[in-house]
Amino acid sequence: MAMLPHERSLVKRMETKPFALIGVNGDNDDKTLKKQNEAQKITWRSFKDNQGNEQPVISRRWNVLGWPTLYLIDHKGVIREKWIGSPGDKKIDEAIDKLVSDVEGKQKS
Amino acid sequence: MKHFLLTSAVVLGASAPAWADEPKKTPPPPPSKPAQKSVAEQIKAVEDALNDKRQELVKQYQAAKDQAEKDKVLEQFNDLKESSSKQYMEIVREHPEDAAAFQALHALLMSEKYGDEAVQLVLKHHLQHKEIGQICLMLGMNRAKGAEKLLRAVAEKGANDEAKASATLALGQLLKGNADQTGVAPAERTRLREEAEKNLKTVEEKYPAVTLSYFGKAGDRAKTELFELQHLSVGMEVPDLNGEDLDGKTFKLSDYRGKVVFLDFWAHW
Repeated sequence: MAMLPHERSLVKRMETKPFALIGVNGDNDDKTLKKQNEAQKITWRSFKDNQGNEQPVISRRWNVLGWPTLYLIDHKGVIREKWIGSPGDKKIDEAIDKLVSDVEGKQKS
Repeated sequence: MKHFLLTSAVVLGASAPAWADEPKKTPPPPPSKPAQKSVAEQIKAVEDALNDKRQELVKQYQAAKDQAEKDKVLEQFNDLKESSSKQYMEIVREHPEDAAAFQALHALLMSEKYGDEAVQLVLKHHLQHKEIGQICLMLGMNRAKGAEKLLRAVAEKGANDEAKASATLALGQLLKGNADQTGVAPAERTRLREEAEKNLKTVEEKYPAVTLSYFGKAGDRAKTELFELQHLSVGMEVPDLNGEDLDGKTFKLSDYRGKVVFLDFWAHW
């Protein structure tokens, strides 16, 4: 979970902005998952995608073959970036900041 | 990214134990001559040294106290990969046609520095190898440098349907991924997607029942790839997701319309 520190700071930095980090979580064991989420201070929402021990429904349908797989979606619901494996914190931040400032620009005008 | 580097370093080794099964083809040299090691033995020696050092680095990584220390270990991982690749390449250049060389070439295909050369040697000497389909699938997923050439050649000239189906599918996957890279011009994006679609449809039509290594039926894989291409590509409206959060409350992805959403497929493992 190499991305967690960056994600925590991202969520904090974007607290008041039109932005949401949403997970699709593939862990199997709910109890361990909750404990780990508390310990790691994961505050953002995730879709549960474990379905017992069955194959995960969302990631199978979405053809997710590598973790993390990341989608950046703009305020209209259009996919703007897609990464299999993190491209690095800097690229993620730049892409998010640009889309967020686009929304904020529109809200002001 | 760093997490990924570590993974790829480990994966490189994970594919290696097959080398241990390579039959030793060279008979023992007559005692009068100095011992000449077979290609398989030479490769095995590099592999053994690599595994030993890698295990040591994994221990160091786990013992690292902070990110700076971890980064240092990761740097050493990369150096280790680099120097082993160099040694593999030196052996392979001497005997590219040797059956054992194929296994080293397999590992080199993912290398930034030697990938192109490795592809050329596989094309020239091992196009008909029985594991070529499996390798094509790996290349398609990882979008390896130089892979396109190999995939096109195997799709056309592969020894059997399994090889051809794997290469055609992987080619579709590779082109689809290339289209979604940041900053690709719209016309190029369209061209890549059209060709990706054509290849995936070929798999659906020509090889639906072919069984791929690890991935089940080629037709089913092609369908899933096509769904992704047609609904989950950059520039498309994202399909809605509807499910439960970790507390059991239902919600939809579209609840967040109006906000920029960073969607992360993740797990603790």
